[in-house]
Formats: sequence, structure tokens, C-alpha cells
Amino acid sequence: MLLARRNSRRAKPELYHWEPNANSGKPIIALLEKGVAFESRYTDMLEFDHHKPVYLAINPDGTIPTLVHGDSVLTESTEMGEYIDAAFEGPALRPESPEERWRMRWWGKYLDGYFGPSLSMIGWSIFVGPAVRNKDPEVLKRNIERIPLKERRDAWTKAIYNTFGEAELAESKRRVQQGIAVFEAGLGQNPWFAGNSYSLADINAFCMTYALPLMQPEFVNAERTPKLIDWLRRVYARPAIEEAFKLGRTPMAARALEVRQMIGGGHA
Amino acid sequence: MLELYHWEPAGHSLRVLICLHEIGDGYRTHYVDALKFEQFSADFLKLNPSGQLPLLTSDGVAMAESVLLNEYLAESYPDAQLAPTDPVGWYNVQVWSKFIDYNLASSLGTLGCRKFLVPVLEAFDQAELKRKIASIPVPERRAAWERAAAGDYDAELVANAERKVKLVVERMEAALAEGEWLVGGKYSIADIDAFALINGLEAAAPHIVNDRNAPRVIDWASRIAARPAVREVLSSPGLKRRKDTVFLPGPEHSRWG
Repeated sequence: MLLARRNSRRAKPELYHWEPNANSGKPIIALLEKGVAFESRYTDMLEFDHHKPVYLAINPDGTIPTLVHGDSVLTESTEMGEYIDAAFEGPALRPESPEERWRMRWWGKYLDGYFGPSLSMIGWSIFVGPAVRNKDPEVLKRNIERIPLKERRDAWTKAIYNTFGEAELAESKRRVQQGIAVFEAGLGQNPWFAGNSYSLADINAFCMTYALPLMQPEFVNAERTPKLIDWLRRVYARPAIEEAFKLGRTPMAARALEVRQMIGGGHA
Repeated sequence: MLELYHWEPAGHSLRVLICLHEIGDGYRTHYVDALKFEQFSADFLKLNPSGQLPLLTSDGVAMAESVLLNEYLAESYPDAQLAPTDPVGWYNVQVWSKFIDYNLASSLGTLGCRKFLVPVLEAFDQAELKRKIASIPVPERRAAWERAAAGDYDAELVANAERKVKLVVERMEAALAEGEWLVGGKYSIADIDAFALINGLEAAAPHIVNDRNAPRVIDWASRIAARPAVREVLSSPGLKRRKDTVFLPGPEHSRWG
């Protein structure tokens, strides 16, 4: 945990991020929605860029993303969204009503604490692990050793040596399915996650759900989850989302375009 | 009208009780007896499907999660000045509260229940306890209560909890060396959120949270405990049990990442 220092509104923010996905996706989309010009510093997670000394000098926790604004260094992606909304001009990304703000944050907590880790565990077992496993074993070992946070070190160890347990993966799948039902129910009550307006909750949820129609087609589709598909279509149609995926360098961004086409959303 | 559903003034319930007393605008309270499993009654689950306390309702809107409730209260009652309003200050308050919650809520559950709740549950009618726990509809909560009923806190779990408590204490000591309070030199909901859990850890992990290892944290906690609003809450007639018997199974330790 790193605290921000002073604020300097004049400075152009720099964002260290990986793919426009999960935690990195949140500030990318928030900045683009606000129309804030920023320096994009692509940080290649699959090359362990975020565990190299030059990155650790900026963010000693070695997590991505990191937002540098003036003298402030911000490293928590969900709270970063509130900072971006408050510190810059542009359309509001937080509802006015305190109850809707509470709901926005409730979704943030649910996504970060419950749904996200489960989805991430599955994603790392099928994508991140296989993408890095073939590197030089000595290099991998050294990389694991310099990861500052124990929780992250444990996650990388599992991904690299493929030591995921069957039971924990099954539990994660159960939680993802439960999450899908919770999203569908929530969107049955309000047009957007927090209530009547598009907010940081939608951005956070989108970063974790945008590929579900492709990853879990039997559970997320127009018949089974019509509200979720309709919401995805509306978010995919936003210009900021289109811009965000341009910052991707892996096949993940192409996959997003495939989903958009599949559900019939967004611009042609 | 605000209405708070809470258990004893400890842990997560204590956080919101302190915040409401600091605001001092009046609210209705509903005591939910967690050791009678009232938080899993059909009526309560309608308000909060996760079966967790505390729960705040405002004109019929039900809201859960103690950290988020204090953010809600701080924003709804700006005159109480319980949080900075500048973007950096607000970010730092949110980040402290999240860091505290992530590391301490689960650890307080593990260490507090192992020491204090296990013997309390041992005195229960075991068949009835088993039946009550089996009927908890939320899988994660059921698992946490099953662990407490079985006293199943292995060395690895305890070591992980202690590691996290030490990490928080270390960071709080560093922060309190720079200022009297956690954020921006002013008492805020970050202090309240941290205090409610540290207060429990003084009993649950006295070998870590004590004035030798954590002198600034202990001093900071005593300054908070001396505040009129906090004294009022801690001595309120709602306090039905001794301080050392107020531990409930907390949220699970992080599974990934």
C-alpha cells in the first residue's frame, strides 16, 4: 500500500498499465471517459516489467497499474477511479446521490474481493501461466523471488509451476457463475450497476466481464443473461471503450472486438 | 431516518456505531444477536443476503459493508468533517481503509475466534449448533462458522494471520511517526475503521499489538478511545458481553492475489 503525496493538477498524468483488461483497464477507461490526456506507459506483465527495479522504484509493491500525477503516485486501481473523477474535468463518473455512490462502491468491493480473484485465478491458469511457463527456469525463479507482495508471489508461483488445485479452480468457477447471476439480478433493478447513470462501477464490471460471452458462452448469452448482454452492448458502444482496446498489444484486444461483434454491439 | 442493524460494539459493528455517534444526528438501532444466528434469519437475509453485520438503512434503502457505510456517512454529513474532501486525501482514506480491511478483518476473525469464540461455542448444545450452522445459506459464512465450531485453526492459518497483523502494525507505526492520525494530520474514518479492528487485536493478538512492539499504535488507539463519541459507544447499554467474547468469524483470507 502506497499513499499519494501532494496534488499537482497541472501535470500531465502518466499511467503505467498492462492490457486494457482487469485492473489496468479501469484507469485507462476512466481517463478516456473524462477526456484526460495522459502518457501511456505500457508495462509488459508477461515480461515481468513490473518486478524490475526501475518499476519498483515508482511502485514498491510491484503491482500494475500505477498512476503518477504530479507528486502523487497512486497504485490502487478502484480508488484511482475516484481520484481520476475528482481531480480532472470531464463527465462525472460517480453518481450524485449518496445511496448510488454506496452501490457503486459495493460493486467495486464485490468485484475486487469476490468475483475478480476467482475470474483471475481461472484466467491465469489458462492464459498467463502458459504464456510465461516456457521461459528460462532460472529467469522465472529470479523473477518470483523479487516480487514484493506475498500474495502476488504465491499467485505467480502457482501460474508458473501450474500448481492450481482442482478444488480451488472448481470453487472459482462456482463463484464466477454466482457472480454472473448477481450481475443479471442487479441489472434487472437498474439500467447501470450503481443506478441510473454510467459510473466507475460499470467500468470496473466491464473490465472483468467483457470477454465472458466468449469465455463462458453457455452461461452468458442473450437467452440466459439478457440484461448482462444488453448492458455489455451499451458499454461496448462507448467511444472510450473503443479507444481503450487500441492500447492492447496481446490477442486480448482482438478478442474483445470479437465479443463485440458476437453480441452485436458497438460501432461497425 | 437512519437505522443500524448491529451486534456488539466490536469489529465491523463498532466502526459504524462510532461514526454515527461522531455525527450525532440520531439513529435507530436494532440489536441482532449474532450468537443466536439472527443474522441468518429469513427477515435479516431479505435486508442483507450475505448475512453480515452491520447493515444500515436510510429511508428504506439497505446498505452493507462497514467501510463503505462510513464513506457513505462521511459524504452524507460533511459538517462532521470525518474525511478530507480533496482528491488525494479521499484516495488516501479509501486506501488505508481497504488495506486495513484486506489484512485485518480476516486476521481478526482467525485470531479472535481461535482464542475466544471456540470456547464459547464449546459450551453450546452441539447438536443444535450443528443444525444452525448447517442451515446458513451463504457457503462462505457457513464454512467460517464450521471452522469456528470445530476449532479448526491450523498453524499455517494462524501464521498467515499474524504476518498480516504485523504488516499493518509496521505500516501504521511508520504513518503515525509522521503525523498524529493516519491521513493528513486529521482524525478521519480511516482512523475509525482501523481502530475498531486494532481494538479487538489488542485482546486477540497481544503479543503483536502491545506498547512495546507498537507504541505509536497503542497511543493512537488510546487517543481514539478517549473521544466522547467512542467512550459513549463502548460503554453503551447495548454492550451485553465482555470485551473478550465479541469475536465472530470474519471474511475469508484472500484466495488469490
